[in-house]
Amino acid sequence: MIPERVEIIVIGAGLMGCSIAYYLSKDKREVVVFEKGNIASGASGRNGGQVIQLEGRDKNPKTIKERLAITKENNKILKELEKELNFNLEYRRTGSLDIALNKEEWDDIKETVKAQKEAGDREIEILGRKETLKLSPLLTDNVFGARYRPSDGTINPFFLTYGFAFSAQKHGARIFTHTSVKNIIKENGKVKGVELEDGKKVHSDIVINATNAWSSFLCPEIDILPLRQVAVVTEPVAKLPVYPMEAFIEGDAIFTTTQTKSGNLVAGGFRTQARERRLHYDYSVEPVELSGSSAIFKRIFKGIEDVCIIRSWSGTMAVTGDCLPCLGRYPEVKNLYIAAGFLNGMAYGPMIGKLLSELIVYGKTSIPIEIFSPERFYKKKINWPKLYNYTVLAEFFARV
Amino acid sequence: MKDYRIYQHPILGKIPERKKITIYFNGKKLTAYEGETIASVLYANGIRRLRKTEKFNEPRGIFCAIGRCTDCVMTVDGIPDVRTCITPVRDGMKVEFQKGLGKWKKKNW
Repeated sequence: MIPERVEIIVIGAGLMGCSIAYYLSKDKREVVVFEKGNIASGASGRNGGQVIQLEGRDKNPKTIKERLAITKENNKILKELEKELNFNLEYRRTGSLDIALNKEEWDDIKETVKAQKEAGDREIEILGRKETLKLSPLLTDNVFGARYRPSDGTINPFFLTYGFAFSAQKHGARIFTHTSVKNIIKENGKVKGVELEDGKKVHSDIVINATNAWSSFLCPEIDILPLRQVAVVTEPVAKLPVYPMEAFIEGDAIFTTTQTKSGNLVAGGFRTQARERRLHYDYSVEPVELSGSSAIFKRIFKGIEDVCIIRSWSGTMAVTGDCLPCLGRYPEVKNLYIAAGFLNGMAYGPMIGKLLSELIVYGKTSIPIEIFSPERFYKKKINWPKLYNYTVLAEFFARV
Repeated sequence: MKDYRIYQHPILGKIPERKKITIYFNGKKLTAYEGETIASVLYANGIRRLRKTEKFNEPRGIFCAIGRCTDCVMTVDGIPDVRTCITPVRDGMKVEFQKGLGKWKKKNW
């Protein structure tokens, strides 16, 4: 039964929404979560589960520091989380690689690692061709080298999201799935609650928009772009020496993961066909995307050509104007919060829930999040390319 | 040992003779004919247990025989999880019983 009045409403039951609901309900707050699909039915259940603390090729010392402050703390939480949630999350610290398959990429990786080391990141390493192949002998011989971070790892994204959801429910939070929010009710610069799809109004003191790729439908003042990627999974195979991996091939970002507990390999990202903004919400997979994504295995591995792809799917991530998450108090509307714009939620999720609950309960956070403030995009028009995919966006951000 | 092969088929008539080759099952020599699949050679030689399951250690054998169900996977020439029901035999092939997902014995990398 949907209540008429609650203390806190969280919109979206993905990883962020569930983790926020967990930490708030643990703090004895009355929380209700509205989700238009199912728990983890968006990007939270459609990713590879790589916990990569500094994904992409960030060379800005300020953002490197601020991001690592959160993701490193997140890594610590993940280690304790299985016990805390009493839920098997399949979390393993395996290390992660960012591999280069040509000279340009290799130079870029070396430059990135140099910048990140200078920014005070001590654990990141650069591996030459021989060292990379020694660590991960399955990689193609064309590899130039890699960036290696030992404390990265892999997690089961479903278990993580459901672990938070179940624990939040145990603490009294209520999660309503298949309940779409039409808009957020605001009055005199203050949030009053939400209006559901069927016209029913639910009043609350605080509203948190955690809908990532869908957040601009509810908060149109901040323009967050959806970005669709395709993923494939193989049949289970005997244990292989593989690591969670990022790579840029022909301007497109791809990823592969370690094997799941049952032995499957997941890869994705290559050759996404969506161009128009509305098509980035489309979950169907085109045949050319399937063959393109499957070809990733052949491009970066050797010796496992006979392994079969058994399923494919697509998911929608979100990009902000500077590729960093958008997190904190919503400008000009009191008691409205936003947590969106995540490209790599697994490395942030638990910590974001913790930080946002701190912000709501105590009014300040233990780790500064000013750099992620929503103010930086508020009512700012971003000239996003009309037709885009990852490659187009990478060029767009290189220009800005 | 009894040979389970059909040599005289009621509709297709006499099956033409094919080249004899040898494969090894857990080191044991087996006679095979060119063009047969691994699973059918094992079956013809009375071997029904092809692998054991990971969790409950239960034996598995041919089930769908068209390469879909993966119940007949074995380690072939050091490569685990090969679907034997659709893989043709080759002279000197080494086929091994497999537990769970098996192990990579020959490394292709």
